[in-house]
Amino acid sequence: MAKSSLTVHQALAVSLLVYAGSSQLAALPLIAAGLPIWMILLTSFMVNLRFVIFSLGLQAHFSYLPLWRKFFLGYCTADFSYLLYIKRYPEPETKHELLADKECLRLHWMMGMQFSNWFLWQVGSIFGILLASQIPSNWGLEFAGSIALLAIIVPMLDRSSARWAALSAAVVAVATYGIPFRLNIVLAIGAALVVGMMTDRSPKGTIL
Amino acid sequence: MKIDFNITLLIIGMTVVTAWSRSFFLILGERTRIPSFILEAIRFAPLAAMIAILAPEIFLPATASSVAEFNLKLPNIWGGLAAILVFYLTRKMLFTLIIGMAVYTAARFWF
Repeated sequence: MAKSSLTVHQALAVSLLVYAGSSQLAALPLIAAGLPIWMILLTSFMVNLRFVIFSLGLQAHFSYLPLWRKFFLGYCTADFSYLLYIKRYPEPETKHELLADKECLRLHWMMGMQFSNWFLWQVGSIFGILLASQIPSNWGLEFAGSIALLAIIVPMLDRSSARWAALSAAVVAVATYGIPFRLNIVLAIGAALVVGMMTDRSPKGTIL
Repeated sequence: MKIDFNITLLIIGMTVVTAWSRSFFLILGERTRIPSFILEAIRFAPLAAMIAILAPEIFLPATASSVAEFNLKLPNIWGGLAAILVFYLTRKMLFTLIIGMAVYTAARFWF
């Protein structure tokens, strides 16, 4: 970000407030090109479409919260917090369980996850902004970051439907790479949902 | 520090868009029920999103603008495949990183 057209102060503000790496990356060339604000905002939204899908999955879990808390909870839910939450708590609590759970364990688990994610992300991001010019880009450090994602992905490939869904997502994401608004991610999700459902032979109600 | 009004507006706008998109369906009230076939289908969404972000990083050059730039001489592909294999077999992250980066670096100098 700091290697772009923004000043360091602006880049820091973007990092702290616009807590969404992919929409930051998508917005930078548009800012540099001087495109109108509404187009940049539209792009941010389109790039964030996968989170719109994720928000469907959380709705039943947190519908009891007041509106502003849901809004804030949603804002803090990035890829990892959604993924790990839904893996741990596939089903929403019933009304009865919710009443018994005085400490709102799930909500606090989620908030703890979100805070750690936010904090580590900010440390990395701010470190990057301040040291951008000192870090050589030809070491392949980004590639090491990509490899690290495997630790999250591979354990999820435990069933054949998940493997088929993953394979179709990979093929679609690569084949349609470069289409506007990073819609290849949304297309890949769509393909994975269809293929995953078609190849799913597990009894209804089991959650990935 | 001179505060650029447009950039400030943009940053605020992007913050709101981020919050709005992430809480898009979450803010619906208790009476709304998402149909169960949708919930069943989106089980695959987080996995697919991760893969959709990762796969182009492995199979296409960082500067690619489309799949036409796919090229078997790309070091990412070999490093990535090696890392996938090692992690699948050993489930050890550090080992995976070392092998993945070693193959990646070797492929960079080889081709």
